[in-house]
Amino acid sequence: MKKVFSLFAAVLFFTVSLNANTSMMNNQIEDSPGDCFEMAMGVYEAAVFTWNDRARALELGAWVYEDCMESEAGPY
Amino acid sequence: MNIKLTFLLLFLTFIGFSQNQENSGSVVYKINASKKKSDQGVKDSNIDFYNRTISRLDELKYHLEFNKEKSLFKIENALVNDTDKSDFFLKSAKLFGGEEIYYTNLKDKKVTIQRTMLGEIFLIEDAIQTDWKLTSETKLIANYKCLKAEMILEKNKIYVNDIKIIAWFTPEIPLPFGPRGYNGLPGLILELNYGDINYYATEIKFENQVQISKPTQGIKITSEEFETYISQKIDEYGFENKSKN
Repeated sequence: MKKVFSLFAAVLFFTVSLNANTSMMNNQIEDSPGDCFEMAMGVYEAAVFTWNDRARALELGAWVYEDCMESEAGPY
Repeated sequence: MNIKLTFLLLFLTFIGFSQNQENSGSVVYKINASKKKSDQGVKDSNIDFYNRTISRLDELKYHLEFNKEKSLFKIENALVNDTDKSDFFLKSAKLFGGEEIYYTNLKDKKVTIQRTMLGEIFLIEDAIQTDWKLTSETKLIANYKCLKAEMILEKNKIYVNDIKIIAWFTPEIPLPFGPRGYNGLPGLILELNYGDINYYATEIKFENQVQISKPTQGIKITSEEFETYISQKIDEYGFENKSKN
């Protein structure tokens, strides 16, 4: 349950930002490893833009990816 | 003659006392950054991510402890990283401000950075930066007259662009320490602009004999080795490989 909340902000942010629709959200449930990666890569790119720092961006991207993969529900 | 000598001794005692008083203590820094507006060629989601991250910076506090020879700079509750799993943008803000511990030893002329990366703790050793360019600009911070110094942190395997560093230091506290491992100026740094982010002093305390210990836990590594490690891990995750599924 904690994991689901841990990713809520990230998923909400990126799905809203990427104008995700319902079918895309449903596909994410069926194909979680690929979607965890897509989401983590989106976080990584935004973090590189924000910090100008690949190490910090890697830390956040990896954090999102691992958390997403561990989550029972996947990235929604 | 005796009166002059007495005055001289009293003066020297006072100087010694005041110098001793200001030889050790601590500074609390808060941080902030300016919001970014939409820009052509930059994804709105990136601007939004940046703005949401910096909106959480005011929740963070950093401490610099110092004595005559050493300093330690760290975020409050450093290395406690499991409590904020539920808060993505707070985690992002902490990474932006820095979760590392910076230990400086003037005798060794070295800075040791203790940082966690992908679940491992590293100890990165580096020389004290001394490439400062002093300017004639001044400003008052917490009633201390501060001078401006600048430095460019050059692009490397970690930094995707050059980063401009601006330090406001006060010769009134003649100790060469500051936030985030920036040292080597003839006075304590009370404000540091690190790219977009500003560290500014909100409390300065002087105490007798502040004890500072070097962080010892972690894998010892040079900054060059750390850069290579980061590049390898980015490749492993594939975050810069657009074709990966």
